[in-house]
Amino acid sequence: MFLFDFAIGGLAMTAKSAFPPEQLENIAAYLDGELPEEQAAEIERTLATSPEARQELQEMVAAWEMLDVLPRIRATEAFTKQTLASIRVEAAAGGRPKRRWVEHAIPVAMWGVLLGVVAAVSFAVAAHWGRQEYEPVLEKLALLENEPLYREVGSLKFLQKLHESGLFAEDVSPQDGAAFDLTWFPQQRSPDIRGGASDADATWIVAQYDRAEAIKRVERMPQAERERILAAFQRLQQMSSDQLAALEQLHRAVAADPDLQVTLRRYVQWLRSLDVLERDRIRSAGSDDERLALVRDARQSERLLALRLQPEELERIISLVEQRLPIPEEVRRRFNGGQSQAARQLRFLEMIARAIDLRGTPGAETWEELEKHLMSERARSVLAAEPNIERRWWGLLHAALMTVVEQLVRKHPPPVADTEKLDELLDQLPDDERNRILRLSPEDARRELWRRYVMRELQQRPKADREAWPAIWQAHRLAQEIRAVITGERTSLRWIGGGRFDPRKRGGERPPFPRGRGFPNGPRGGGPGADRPGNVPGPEGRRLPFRREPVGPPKDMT
Amino acid sequence: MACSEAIRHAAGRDWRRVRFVRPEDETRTLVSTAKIETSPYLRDPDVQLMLRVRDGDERAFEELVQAYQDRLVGLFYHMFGRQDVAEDLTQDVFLRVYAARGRYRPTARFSTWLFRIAHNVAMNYRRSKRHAKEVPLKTTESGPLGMQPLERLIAEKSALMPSRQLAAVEQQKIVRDAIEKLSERQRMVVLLNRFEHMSYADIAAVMNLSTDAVKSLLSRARRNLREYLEPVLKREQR
Repeated sequence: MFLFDFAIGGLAMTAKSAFPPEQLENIAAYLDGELPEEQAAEIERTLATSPEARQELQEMVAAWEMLDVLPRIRATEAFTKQTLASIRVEAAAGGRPKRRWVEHAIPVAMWGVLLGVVAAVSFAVAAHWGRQEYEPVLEKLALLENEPLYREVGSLKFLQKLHESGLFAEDVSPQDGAAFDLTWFPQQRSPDIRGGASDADATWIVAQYDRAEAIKRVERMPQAERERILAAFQRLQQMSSDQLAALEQLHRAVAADPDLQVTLRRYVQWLRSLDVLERDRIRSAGSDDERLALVRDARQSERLLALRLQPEELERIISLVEQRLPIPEEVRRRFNGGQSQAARQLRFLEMIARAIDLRGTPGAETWEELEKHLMSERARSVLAAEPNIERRWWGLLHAALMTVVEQLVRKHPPPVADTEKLDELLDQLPDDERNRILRLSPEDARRELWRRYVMRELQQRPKADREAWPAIWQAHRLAQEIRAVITGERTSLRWIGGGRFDPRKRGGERPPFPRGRGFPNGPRGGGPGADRPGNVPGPEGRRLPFRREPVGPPKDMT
Repeated sequence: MACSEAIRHAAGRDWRRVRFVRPEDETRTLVSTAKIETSPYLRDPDVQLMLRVRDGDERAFEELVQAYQDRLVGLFYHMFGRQDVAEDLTQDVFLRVYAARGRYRPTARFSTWLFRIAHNVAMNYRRSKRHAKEVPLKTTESGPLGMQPLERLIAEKSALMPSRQLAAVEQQKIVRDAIEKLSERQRMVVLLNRFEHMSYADIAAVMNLSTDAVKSLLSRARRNLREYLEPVLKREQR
């Protein structure tokens, strides 16, 4: 971006400016009085001799002053209250949750609470809910309790379509033991609610409570819930009669059909667990069909990402793909020799990822062979549901990588870090390092500290652990890259220098896999580098285009 | 704060962080670690507020929110052109500040630290917006909360407005368009320099650039602005 700015700005301005190119970069500093005397004198010499330069400078000053006409934007009146309230909510919840959607959900929730607070003032006077003016609220209590769920689906028609699609018929949480999240503290992991199957805790929605039951329910409610009910009631009053009729129809249908209730709850819980942008995209889809297509796509991504393989299944798949890749026998032997099985598997998975990223997927017959003979029933059904062949391959690779990673993590459990230990580590860091970490977002800061902590603690561990963890990290980062491709965040993987994948290699060269027994040498440690996948000759003896320029965020986007 | 109170206050925390305060120093705030006690930034009143926030003073946090909310909302508004987005992002910044309070150390002016967070939040938003393939709203389109103040002003009033006022509104729109044409980095540098009156060194710290990079970014931005606003400037000269 910066280089782009530079190129565009430089070209455009060099062509038009009356100033010599070497002075162009200094004009702002000259105008702000921040230029050393010598350079300022040079600019003044240009100004003295060139009327065009004087004109240009005057226009620059005038343009700068025109910025004053921009409106001074202020925060809305409720902003301070909202912000402080959301902070309190967070403090009460015991800290910042992992997923970003919560941050965005807080203002929305606080609007509701604020509305409720206004209503609550009048309610405080009314003393209890048995009075006449609350009769309509009591009458519609069953609907009001579930109004937030109904708002998420919008209409009965959409809910029915959703139900018929079967997208929420089963839980898609990763299978047993698959929920490792190595980018975070194990103990800080937020509960996996993407499957949204908390049906056991849910109370069943009924069409209407009788009056006594309604009063009893209200009495048992916490104050915040009462306020929410009143806010929902106010929203109902502002609806047109058609809107109200549609909402009541939805409520009656849901109350009458337990299956529809399950779909409704799972969908809403799932939707709220999404990233805010993804959620907004689904919410603001133009039509029901469009929205359903978005939901289907997102669910399919989750299914793919939740997939894991059986150990023997993994080995069979790797062997087959390995045979289909044009790797010379010599390189294959070198890859296979003297390594642990996991290290060899990771090495090949990385190669396969690179090959698919740069050269596309293997032929359809390879996939058919895999599918027919090598895959378990579960893997086959999840992958077959994906129409896009490339995404199928990515899904398979992600499953394979995560399977290996999880096996390795079980074998070499990571050191456990708590907040106190991390604080201690932060105190021990040199000032500039500490400042750099403190400038990161809280999540990134914690993640970085955790990584450092684990690396430090591993030094005390046996050699096998020390050697395994960098490989685990490496493989996990690659899995995360693939995940980004599956979810559509990126169109291709990020490879750093020489065709190696290593997002952490910014500060210096480091072999992607540790040297030592059980792991092959990295590209810098293996002599002339003949075994580097980047140097593998292609079928016709030419080099394959494995090398790719690094593509990633600018360094300052921390 | 008396000595015993200081100890109570610091109970449960790392003993190295505690500075025992003599009675004559009662008005001074407890500060973590010897190195930071001598930090020149302690004179910054907002740093003092933030230290109080760190020690659990909610009132101090409210003061900080009130002091900076308009500045942050203005910055994000001019970056992304939408009030609702601007307020969401501002809230995000304050949430991050609050979440980081326990680890806060006064190693820079408070505003530099805050705008650094704001810059990160803006870049993250831009990145996620790009990933979401969101279609950017033009100023003539309305966002989810309806038209924005400036757009509304133009749409409602342009038909009936005396020509001078109309000219002012038009000028606003032209300048806004010019700002939008700048790259996001250039826009950020312009906003920090022009409206936050930040020095080159502070901008460099906020955006994680060298001061030379800031200098040249700003030069390019000013030249670009001149180019985009040239027709108006020429018209005014006539």
